[in-house]
Amino acid sequence: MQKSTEPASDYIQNVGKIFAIYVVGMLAIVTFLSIVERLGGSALTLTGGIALLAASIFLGVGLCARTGQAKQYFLAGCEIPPFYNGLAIAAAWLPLTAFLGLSGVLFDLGFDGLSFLVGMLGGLVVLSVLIAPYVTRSRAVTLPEFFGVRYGWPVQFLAALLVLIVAFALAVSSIAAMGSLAEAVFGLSYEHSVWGAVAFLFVMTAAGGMRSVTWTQAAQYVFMIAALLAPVTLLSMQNFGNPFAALTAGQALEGIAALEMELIEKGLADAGSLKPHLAPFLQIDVLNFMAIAFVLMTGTACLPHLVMRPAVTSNATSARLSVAWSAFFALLFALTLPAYAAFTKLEVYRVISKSVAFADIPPWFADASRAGLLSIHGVSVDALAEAVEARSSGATDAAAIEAHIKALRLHRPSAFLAQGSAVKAALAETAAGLTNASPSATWEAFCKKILPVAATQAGNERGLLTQSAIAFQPLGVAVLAVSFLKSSPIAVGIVLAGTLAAFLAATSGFLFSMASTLGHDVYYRFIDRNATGGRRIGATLAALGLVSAAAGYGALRGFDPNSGPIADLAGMGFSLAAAAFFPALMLGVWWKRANAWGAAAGMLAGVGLCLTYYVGQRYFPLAFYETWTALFATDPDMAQTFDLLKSNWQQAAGADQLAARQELEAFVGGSAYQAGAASWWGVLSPYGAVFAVPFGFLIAIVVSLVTPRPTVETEVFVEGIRRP
Amino acid sequence: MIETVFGLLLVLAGAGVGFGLTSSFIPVPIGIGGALIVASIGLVLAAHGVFRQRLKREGTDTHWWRTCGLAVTILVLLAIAGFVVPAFVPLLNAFKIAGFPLGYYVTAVGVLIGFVMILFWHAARSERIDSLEKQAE
Repeated sequence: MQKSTEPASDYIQNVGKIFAIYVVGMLAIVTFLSIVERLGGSALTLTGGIALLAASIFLGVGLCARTGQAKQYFLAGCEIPPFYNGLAIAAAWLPLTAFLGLSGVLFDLGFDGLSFLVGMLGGLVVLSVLIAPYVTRSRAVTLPEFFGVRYGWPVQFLAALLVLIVAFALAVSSIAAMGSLAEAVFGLSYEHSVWGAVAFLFVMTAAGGMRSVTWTQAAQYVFMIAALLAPVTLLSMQNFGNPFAALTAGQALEGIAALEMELIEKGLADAGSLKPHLAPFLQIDVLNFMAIAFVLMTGTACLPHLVMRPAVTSNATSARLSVAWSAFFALLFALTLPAYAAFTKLEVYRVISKSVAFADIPPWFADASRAGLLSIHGVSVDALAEAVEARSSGATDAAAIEAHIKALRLHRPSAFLAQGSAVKAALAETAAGLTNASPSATWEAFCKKILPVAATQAGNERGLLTQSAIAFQPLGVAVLAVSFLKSSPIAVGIVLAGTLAAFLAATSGFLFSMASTLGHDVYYRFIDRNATGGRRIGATLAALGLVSAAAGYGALRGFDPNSGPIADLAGMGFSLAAAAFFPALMLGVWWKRANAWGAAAGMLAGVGLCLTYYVGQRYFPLAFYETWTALFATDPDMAQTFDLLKSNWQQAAGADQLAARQELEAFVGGSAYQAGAASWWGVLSPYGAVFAVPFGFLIAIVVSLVTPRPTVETEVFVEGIRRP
Repeated sequence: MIETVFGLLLVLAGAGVGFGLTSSFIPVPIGIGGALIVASIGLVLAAHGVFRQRLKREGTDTHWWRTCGLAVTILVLLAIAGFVVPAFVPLLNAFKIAGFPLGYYVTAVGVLIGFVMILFWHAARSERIDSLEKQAE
């Protein structure tokens, strides 16, 4: 294949110096600000200052990387050194599960959450061995283009479509999650955060395309790792006097185990529902652990925006090295994240073990509760906030408040409406005295007046906070850790800057991959074959604006990041990517006989199976179960329970019938971590790729064999990308 | 040749040990586990022997065979680290290291560091294979 004979751009030769100045500069500024903090600087200025600094740096880097050359715009000139590309790749892909949901998953599941980490890092190995070097050598600009060169334009089109769907879903969920976080921590309105984010992303990415994306992400990684390390280091210092969280995490785990025993002894936790943090396979069984690891491995290896990232380097070895470096940077994250979850759990359990009455719940629970991410006995302080807001608009009692809230169209389910009637009445009553009250007064009233009612309703007569009362949404853990650190504005500032960085890194990656697909695969390939480089950049820019706006709109209109564990959605994204692209991509490189028919069939079959499994198990569990019982012999107990519940439902009448049906569906559908009867060998619904990927391979191979061989040019192409 | 034969013998030995001795002398999980390990080592040796033979023949595409061989090796290591190790975690959790239960530690730290090491080794080894090919041209 052709080798690049142009000299490396000037900035590449100096990039080591630039990066060193950047890191040292950041450390200097943070040190300076800590001194200011000691001397009594205002918390808001410090926190806001760091966040603003980070934002300006990202914007600055993005704009400095502006370019008008097509090769630079789409592939960063193929001259990014592996070390920095590694930073960028890590930054682009970690936020997807790590910062936004994985801390919560690790918090909830303890050991079982490690399946995600194993899967993600393992995926990088798969990427490096099977895919990255060959896609790099092909010099394809986007993943669909690789499919186009290998299989022909129909497959390119299909791939482009699938890329747009997968990336769009991920982008929307990313923006929605950021909007939620901004709302919780900054107190901005959801709408403002979303549109602000969209605008910022556009400006940051548009000027330089892939070049901007790569360099801003490299810069963002530094903030991200700082943001993760700051809270954990502080917590580690406070608890064990040792700042190296990786070392003290073991002691934290021991502390959790001891506290778990204590809680059970004091009756503050129910032995049946308390899940020991360290016990393996308690909530996710071995099969699902492996399914999750498998799906994340294959999915990571063919996430559209990830596959192309090693391609911005100069040759195959650099591509492999970039992936290796990115795994190293991801490792730093992966080693710290379980410690993060462990320390947070330690603090929460400590609070509970002090037999705390509701009125004494520490205020750092308040922020997470305010965003609806933490609920105690099913109720959170934003329910009270909704009632207060409704009161001030004139509603006087519970029924009127309900009507008022229903008339608004909130972007997430109302906390007020989810309550039982006794709690609603208490909320309505308490809200009367709270118009124009400060957030801390609202929180106090919530603890003193609402929680006892909710607790009594749930059967907790002691008036103390118990372990089973607390329920977290996955994002809640991250917010909780930030609130806990409110004592140090610098730490909060760093965490905010890092969260901002994480979100920008992930979303800019998704948006750009969509934009380059639209600009390159759709516009250049299908609409205007003769477009010059400038035209292509222009088309991609327009596409970028379009997809950013569309993603923002999607985040506002219907998507709720709290409507199910976030891990679910991330899992689905990986599943779809794996099912769609992995068979076709792998066979494309490693089997010359694979042809366009096989690839297309494999992609469609994989996606179809994956979606059927998810939608069937999630939304039509009864039908799913009944269709498949014949094939998958479920054990006789399950079949018996099913028949019993079903006859209950058929014989019940009126309101009972609804309840009976719900019970039946719950049994068949399963819960977040436990597949119900309607499943294949107990695999959870978002991880259908476990079946879809082998199925896709099978279909692709069979169809390729029964249809004509690929052309000689294709074989030459495959030979070419295999050669060094 | 010798390697292949030796490997095949090991596979047979593993099977024999596993199924023959297990029920009488050794507890089932250890017996089966041990047999599998011995058999796998045998398989790897046999495959390696076959691989070496193919390389020696004239006209084989040595570069591609080497690349494939490396890829298979790495994927096998990946499978072991990612799937086999977690299956043994309950067993390992009985021991403690630096306050961590060993099973948890191996999965949370060992496996992940292992992946990173595999990646760097893969890059170095591939570079070596590619440069051999370039020298041969």
